[in-house]
Amino acid sequence: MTTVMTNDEEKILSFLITNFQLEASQVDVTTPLFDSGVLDSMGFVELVDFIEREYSVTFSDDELQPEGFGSVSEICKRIASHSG
Amino acid sequence: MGVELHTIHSEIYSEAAQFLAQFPNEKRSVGFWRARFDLWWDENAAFSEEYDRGWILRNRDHIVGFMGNIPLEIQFNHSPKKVFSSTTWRVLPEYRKHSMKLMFKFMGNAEDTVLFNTTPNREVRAVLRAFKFELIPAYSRSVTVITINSPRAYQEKLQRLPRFLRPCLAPFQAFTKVLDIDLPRPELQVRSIEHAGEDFDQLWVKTKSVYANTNIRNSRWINWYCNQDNAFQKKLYGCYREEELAGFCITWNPKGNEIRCLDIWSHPEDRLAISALVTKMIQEAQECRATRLFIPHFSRSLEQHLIEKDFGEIRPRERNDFFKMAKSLDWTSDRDSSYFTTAQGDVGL
Repeated sequence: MTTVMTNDEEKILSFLITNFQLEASQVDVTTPLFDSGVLDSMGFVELVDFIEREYSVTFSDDELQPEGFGSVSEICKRIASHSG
Repeated sequence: MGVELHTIHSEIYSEAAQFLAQFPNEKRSVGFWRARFDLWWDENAAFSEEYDRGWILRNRDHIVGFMGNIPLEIQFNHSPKKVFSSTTWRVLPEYRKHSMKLMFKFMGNAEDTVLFNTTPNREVRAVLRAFKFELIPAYSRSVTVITINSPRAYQEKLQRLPRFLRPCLAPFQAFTKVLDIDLPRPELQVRSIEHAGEDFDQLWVKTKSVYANTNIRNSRWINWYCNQDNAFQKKLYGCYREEELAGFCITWNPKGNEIRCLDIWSHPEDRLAISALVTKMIQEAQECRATRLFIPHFSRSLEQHLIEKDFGEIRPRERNDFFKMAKSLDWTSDRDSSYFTTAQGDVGL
């Protein structure tokens, strides 16, 4: 079954693949970014910076937790909650 | 089985100390780290078993990452408050993609308190910025740097130059001299203190209402902070007006040749006490043949005194002290309601 991605999910996935030299097969919207070892601390900094600039949002520290920021799909929910 | 996060317990002190001592580029011994754990937790009055000591990352039988969590108590809005400082975030290079697990755990403390990180490197600073940490409010961003021993300072500069240049510049050392300033004759007596007693508690009770937000400077904190092993060479000086304690300062000498003022405390309007403590720090720096003495401008009266006396060069202070306040805390800081020095977080611990 093919998962249909939203534009935001596609944009963030593409950022991860390009910036962290990942294979497309290594990461999808549900991949745990911290538990599976996709992102180190500097990767985290770059990702937060990219999203905050791209979407003009500022995340609070309770949003910057593995529960809410742990996968591309969760990040997109956070972004949506800021714009909603 | 992958990399797992565990809370630090006293049973793993030896193993954790071993991990830190063997970390790439680390020069300090297992004993040094083992002593830190006692200080951060078991001898720390702000610690209790309800708080995590910190966390480790473990891969099978091996520790591969570490972050310490030091509970501290500060005066916040005029009341005591438990706060936390992260320290010693270390993850082996091949496990760096798990390092954020440690930081997320530390950030789990953030809900209703203040978090500190006062010794970050460049990478950690970037992570702190992402979590919206800010520089700790300070009265001034300046530091007075008093060159005590110019010949030695010159010699140290020479050593940093390419070898072929040194013989050409070495003769100029003859034009440098040891600081010979006319120090004001202090009207109050200042002496070195081995153990802070009840008079320190009395001073704290008398002066604590001056600032809403500051360190709790009772004898318990001072003794814990100063009287540890010799790892950081801290010194405590008390200033007395007719045998009554009027103020104190804490210095340290982390590199062995540069003395830094970590903390200075008296009633802010007690200019005689401030003057006497500054004079004592300069005298001590001269006696122990230090190259330089650094006194940050922690308060208006200290800054005025240092500018008036023109002891040395005023430079922008390199700031590396970050904090983060929980949103739920009602707090506004201005230069007059807060007094934060260098003795915040894990500096000198």
